Amino acid sequence: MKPLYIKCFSILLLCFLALSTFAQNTIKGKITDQSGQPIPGVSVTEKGTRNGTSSDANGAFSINVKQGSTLIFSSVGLIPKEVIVGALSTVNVTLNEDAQSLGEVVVTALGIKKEKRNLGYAITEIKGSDLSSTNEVNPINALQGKATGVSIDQSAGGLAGNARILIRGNSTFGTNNQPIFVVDGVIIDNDVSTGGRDFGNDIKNLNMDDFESVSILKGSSAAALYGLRAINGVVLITTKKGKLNKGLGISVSQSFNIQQPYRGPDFQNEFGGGTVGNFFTDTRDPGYKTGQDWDTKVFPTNASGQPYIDPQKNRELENWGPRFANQQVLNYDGTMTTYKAVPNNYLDAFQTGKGYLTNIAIDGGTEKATFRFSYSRNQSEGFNLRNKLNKNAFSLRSTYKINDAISVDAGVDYSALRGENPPNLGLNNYIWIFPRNYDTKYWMQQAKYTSSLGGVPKVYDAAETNFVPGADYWFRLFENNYYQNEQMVRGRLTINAKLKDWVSVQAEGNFINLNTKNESKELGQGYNFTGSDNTSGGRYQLIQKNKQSYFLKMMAMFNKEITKDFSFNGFVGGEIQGYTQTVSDAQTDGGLVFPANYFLDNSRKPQISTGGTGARKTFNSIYASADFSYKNQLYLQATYRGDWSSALVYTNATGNPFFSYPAVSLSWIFSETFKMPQWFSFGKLRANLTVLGGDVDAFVINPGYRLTGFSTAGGNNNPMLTYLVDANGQSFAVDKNIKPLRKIGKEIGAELKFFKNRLGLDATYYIDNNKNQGTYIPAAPETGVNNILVNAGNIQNSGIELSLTGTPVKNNNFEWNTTLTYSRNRNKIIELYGDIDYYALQNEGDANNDQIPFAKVGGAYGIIRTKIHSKSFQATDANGNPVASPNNGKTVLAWRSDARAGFPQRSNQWQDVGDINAKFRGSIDNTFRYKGFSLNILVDAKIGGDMVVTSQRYGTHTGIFENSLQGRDKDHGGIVWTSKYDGKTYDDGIIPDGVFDNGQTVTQANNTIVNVGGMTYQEAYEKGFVEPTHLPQYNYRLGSFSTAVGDYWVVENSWVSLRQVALNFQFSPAFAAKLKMSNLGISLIGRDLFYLYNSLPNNINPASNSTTKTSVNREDGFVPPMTRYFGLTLKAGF
Amino acid sequence: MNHINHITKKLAIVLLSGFTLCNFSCKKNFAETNTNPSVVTKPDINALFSYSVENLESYQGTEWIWENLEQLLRYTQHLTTDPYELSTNINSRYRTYYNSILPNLFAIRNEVATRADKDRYKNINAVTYIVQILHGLKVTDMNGSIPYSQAIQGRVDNNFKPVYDNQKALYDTWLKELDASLADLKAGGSDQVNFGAADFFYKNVWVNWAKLANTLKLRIAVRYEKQDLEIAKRIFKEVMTDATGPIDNDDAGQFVYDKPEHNPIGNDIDYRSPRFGTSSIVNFLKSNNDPRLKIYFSPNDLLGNFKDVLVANGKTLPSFINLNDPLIMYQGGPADWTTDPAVATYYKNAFPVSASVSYKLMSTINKKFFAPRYGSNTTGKMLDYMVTYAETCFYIAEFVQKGYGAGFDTKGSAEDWYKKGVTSSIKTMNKIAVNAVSATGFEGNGDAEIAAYLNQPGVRFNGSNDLERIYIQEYLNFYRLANEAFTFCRRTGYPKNSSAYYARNAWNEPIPRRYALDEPPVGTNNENWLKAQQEQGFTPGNKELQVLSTQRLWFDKNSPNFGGGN
Repeated sequence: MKPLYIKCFSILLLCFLALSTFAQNTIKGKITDQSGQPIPGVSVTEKGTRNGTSSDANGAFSINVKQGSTLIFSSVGLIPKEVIVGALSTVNVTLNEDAQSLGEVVVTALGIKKEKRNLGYAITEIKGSDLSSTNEVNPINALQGKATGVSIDQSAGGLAGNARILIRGNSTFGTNNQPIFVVDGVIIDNDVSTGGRDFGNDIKNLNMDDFESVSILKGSSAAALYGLRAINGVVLITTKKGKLNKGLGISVSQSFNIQQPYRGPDFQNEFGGGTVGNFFTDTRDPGYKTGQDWDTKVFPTNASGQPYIDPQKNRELENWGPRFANQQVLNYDGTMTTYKAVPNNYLDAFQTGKGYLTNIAIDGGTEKATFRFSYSRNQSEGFNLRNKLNKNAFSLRSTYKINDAISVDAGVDYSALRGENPPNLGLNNYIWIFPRNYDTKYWMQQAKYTSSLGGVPKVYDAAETNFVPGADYWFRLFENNYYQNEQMVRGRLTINAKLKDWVSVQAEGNFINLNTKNESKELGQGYNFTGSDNTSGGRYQLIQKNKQSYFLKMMAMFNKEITKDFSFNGFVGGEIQGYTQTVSDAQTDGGLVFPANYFLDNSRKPQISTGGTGARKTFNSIYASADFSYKNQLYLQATYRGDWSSALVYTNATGNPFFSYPAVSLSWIFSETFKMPQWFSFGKLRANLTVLGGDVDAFVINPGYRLTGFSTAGGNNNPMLTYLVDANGQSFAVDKNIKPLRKIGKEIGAELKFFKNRLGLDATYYIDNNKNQGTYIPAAPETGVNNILVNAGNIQNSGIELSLTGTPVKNNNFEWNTTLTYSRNRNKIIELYGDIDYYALQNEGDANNDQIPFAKVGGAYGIIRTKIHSKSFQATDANGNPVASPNNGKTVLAWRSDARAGFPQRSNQWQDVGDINAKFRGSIDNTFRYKGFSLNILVDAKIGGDMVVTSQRYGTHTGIFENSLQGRDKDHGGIVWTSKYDGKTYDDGIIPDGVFDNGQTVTQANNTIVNVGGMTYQEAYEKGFVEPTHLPQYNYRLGSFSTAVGDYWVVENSWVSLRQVALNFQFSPAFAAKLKMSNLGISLIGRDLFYLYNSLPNNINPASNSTTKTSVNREDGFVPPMTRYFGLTLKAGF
Repeated sequence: MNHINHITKKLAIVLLSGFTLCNFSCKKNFAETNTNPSVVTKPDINALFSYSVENLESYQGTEWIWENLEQLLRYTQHLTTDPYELSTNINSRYRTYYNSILPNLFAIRNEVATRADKDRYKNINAVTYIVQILHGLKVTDMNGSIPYSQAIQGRVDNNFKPVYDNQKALYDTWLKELDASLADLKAGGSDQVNFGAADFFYKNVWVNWAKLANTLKLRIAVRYEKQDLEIAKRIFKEVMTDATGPIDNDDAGQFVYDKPEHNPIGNDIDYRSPRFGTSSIVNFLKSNNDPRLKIYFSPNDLLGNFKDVLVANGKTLPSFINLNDPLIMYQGGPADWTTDPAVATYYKNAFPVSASVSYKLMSTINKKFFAPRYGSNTTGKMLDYMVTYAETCFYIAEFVQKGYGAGFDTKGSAEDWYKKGVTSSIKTMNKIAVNAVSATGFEGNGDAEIAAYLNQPGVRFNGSNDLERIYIQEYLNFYRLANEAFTFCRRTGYPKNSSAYYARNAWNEPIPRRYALDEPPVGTNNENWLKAQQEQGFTPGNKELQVLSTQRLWFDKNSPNFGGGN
């Protein structure tokens, strides 16, 4: 079957040659609405003939007719009008809204246009221009706040980075529950990024300027016709077609954007770098004086007695150094410097991003043929240093009517994209290494991050002169390069043939070919930039990937009025589709032979090369749909789809690969059935019931042994095989009775319009259950497998989506439109597998020192669990039995004698500590129009849902945040006391809140041992058994790798964002004409302007997600600064 | 029009018939599509074996960093370093056993069972058991009850809830399996299939595998001793009267991992903190002029003309150092730093002499001996002797000394075995040092140095504390085998707290005597885990020192406290 799409492509090329010549005797005109606004897309036909055209974006039309004929102007939702031409050469028409019919037409599944009033399910359609005007690189970002029931979260990934989109909650145990994107019938995958460097997924190849409309198919019903890949919903994109134009048909737009980082986290600016004190587990700089073991806020001194800033060699760097007072001290590189805070050192590590976006489109057409060709270019530099993006996209779409019965629609798109240096989303040096005295602008210079010995400064080498910490941060940033080049080709051809009045046939073929090349070039950090490993000696890596998918469809469509009141339309069809992938990944190993020369042969050790065929699948499908309508008030749609998936077939050709998707939906326009009062314009109720299916991952049911490298022990080179390991190195077994999943979706809704459609309400309630999902259930490793692939689970998502639209003011010059959306989704795990209560959505072992998401029976997908939450106190009697105590339930404190510190103790028991699911999301979208001006203000909000903010953990450990000031010294509320251990006076004492566990003993200064079990710290302090804990020691333990308790960095992540303010001005046609233009507009847009509310501590940016996995809401130590975008766009038509 | 119509109809027929046929013919295409070209379907026994045995070693870098250097060898006082909590990275031996070592050994036996000539694979089968017992012992040594009799039954037998076997059951099962392996290895004829190059330990010399099996029986015997002396004696007799016997030479018989570029510890030798010699071990090695002193520890800065420099600057060394000590360059300190802060302060702080000169006073462990290629070192390879001849000799010497050798030929007196053990230990340690390009104890074969050492009054048998002498040599020999060192200290209570011969340093903090075995993933085998934990008297899941230091494993129940040997 594969060569067929090549044939399709050849036919498609021929079509472009088929445009016929323009005709003569033209009648021109303009169609406007009551307020004088032009109406595009109005059908203009010569009565009694098939001759016709439609109005363009400016409401203009042009048609050749015989003299004396009658023109019919019609459009859905408007009252049709007939005009006798007579001898006129210009006909201007005003069409009135048809209040009786809502008439809105939307694009539904398989690209079929339907009147929205007929639909039995919720659908949101957004105009392409509303998205393109945001100037975002990624269409997902542009959708933010625009559709109810769609959750979008920005990530930290930089310019091309992904955003996460989720429709109606997480429906599978997988970690990618994002919808697919379908562009003119071509399915584009929507993969998740998983941290590290994010070059973005396939979606960024789409060009929003080519979008005519975007439909979001939220419910299962709408998705039932797309098969298993649509189980999480569909974002359906229809691109622009060419049309007959008055002018040249050229439109040009030019945008200039800036991205301005404006706020980092709230760092403290009072204390600089210095260690926590000289307790056993951390080596302190030898320059601290004898007797200063417990002193912080002091400088170490060198042999000449000069103070210097502690470089904290070979360890994380903390901020327990002296208070800033413009002291003269030696800097890390031995120069004299003034010791002071550099408050903006974080923002100094970023830049103002700039982007240029150019679009040129030319289109035209006759009544027989249309074409549209567009070119778009995006050249951007992000706010992350050296992060760049360059995109060139071409798109060609053409339609041609071969004759009255047969028409062709074909398109080809090509995009080439190059991304450079997206940020690495690991732990950021500003949280962990760079203290508040760190002068970014000084240390980011090449001469400062490079050692005179070559590579990065070698703090362990006596010959080194520069002991600046964390220089490798800049070295990696400026000397290493990470590139991704992508080329995507999409081609499609559709042939429509009208066989009879009531039946037509459609055949369609399309393909996508995506080639990706990744290069990593890393300079060696060792002496003279050389060394025997990848870090010290440098590295080069080249990855080439190819992904091909193809799709063939055959469909017959019926449309029949059976009686006057009862009509039927529907279709039957079939599809064949599939995809294949290949990858080859080669890299140098053990450093480069010649430093800074990046080619594969330049490898000290043998190159590491892997690759082969990636996952691949083939699907065969059949489907049918039948729509019945009764008296234009009752509509019933029934659809059926059956899929055969290769992923369910065993190597021996057995297995049951078939599953099906029946769906039925009902729409009742009761305002047609009953007579309604005048103010009640329209009323509709809708309901639907859908069944979806799904398969398992490719290959997994056909196991084998994987080659996992070679053993060179004994001087041999022995290959090593392991049995059936997945990509993560986990072994698994497969249930022999594995079968397709089943998702059942139910939805009811109402659509109401009042006061001549000035006020509208759309409400939906849905409930989806996803069962029998192919799931990797963990097995005890002692069984020899880590997981078993079984059918499991019942995930329920239920929710409400409300959308209230209003036009409070409307007159000839001024109009105010407002839309309020509200959506809440409740995710509930009804059942997992057997008696399993929790299902880990990440490696469960990580919970030993982290918080990880789970699906919880009776709870939700995305419950955050951990073993490192604090422990609650329970008093016991002598026999260990629990007894009542006023201290029960308080936090248990651990005690460390070498730190003389009390701090919360880990429970080491599983605890549920959060839930990533938002309570609700909402938006308020206001548009004001005055003559040629329009102003749009969009505010959106997410309320509820917890985030794991690891920067909070590490920043607490290092004392970098404002919240670490309390108790640092007397001025900040620290307790002043004289220690019995050494007779010295300190002023950084705190009394930790909590109670010592049963049996806890504390060795006193006089070496006696006292049992403080069951006492609060305060009580023990009052009795003289403990001294105040030094705040630095407390914070150190509270955030340390081995003792931190997670209580304070799993935090609510709610925000209200002024997402967008956009001002548009459309010059009058007369003015444009003076400039030889058909139209001219200018727009100014601001995006992500600021947060009206942000619940994260220390003003950490809510857009900090390190991955777009739908299971995760966490920041991994890289907090991007809050960044706002401004864009200026000029649009002109010729 | 008609033409198009015709084509459309034809296409429709083709497509639709394709779908209806799918359940028959297209499944074949589907099957091909759904078969991963990147996996091997027919397993190769040698490739399965090399993965298992490579994993005996490859995980040990993790173990050195998080367990041996930071915890176990500090508890045994072979070295000292900053105390740190038991991290979540410990017990990698456990995960490795079930994930990486066992599955392929089972797969080999399953594969053999399908072969027509399975009798030719008896030796291969026997060796798979020896390998899994070798590592199984190491796993139970810190974890107690573990799944074994029902382990690795998920894939074939669909048993996803294996019971945990207690330590006695494990030892008894292993003894039986070792005996069966021994029988097979001895019976196997010349027609036996071998592992090819995949047996990089013994190169298919089956008799060496048999000797390893016997030494493993001795490892079990010493662990049985405090629970059932008669069984320990019985095993001892079996091993000593077996025609093949245990490991009996320094060369091909020892179980050693040898890979030229092997660098498991690397720069992590100083992870978090350097490691130093304790005064107990350093002083003992010094007092008998032990060739292993230079191998085990590195000299401090008190070299060359240091005395002149001290005098010139008017400085006096701290009192714990004897200025006239000819081995002044080797200094150990308190094992528990809180017990002697005055000396402990010199671990991390050099002794200031002048503005530009300061001396490090404490000996670190010899880093190159452990990690030949740490830092910028590019020469030297790490030999990992996992089971040695010296260890075998000391077990025999210990048992003969205790009188368990009555009634059969022990092939030498306790003293004979003691001397063999000391000799082999020094030679093997020196060989490791030579290969590591590290400081050696001697040049040449060392016979003279070893003879002199054996004749030291503090080394040779004196008739009064001979068992202690055996124990101490056993202890010194385990410097590179942290698990065996820790097991030794647990089961014997040696070195003793107050011994005139070799006293353990003062120590205040509680020492965990086992690891807390993590609960399996929720919803899997949790009940069996819980049952096993409770049967052993453990507080399930509790990782606190107080609990781990008091709730003991079965083999350890009757053992003395650390330093409490009798």
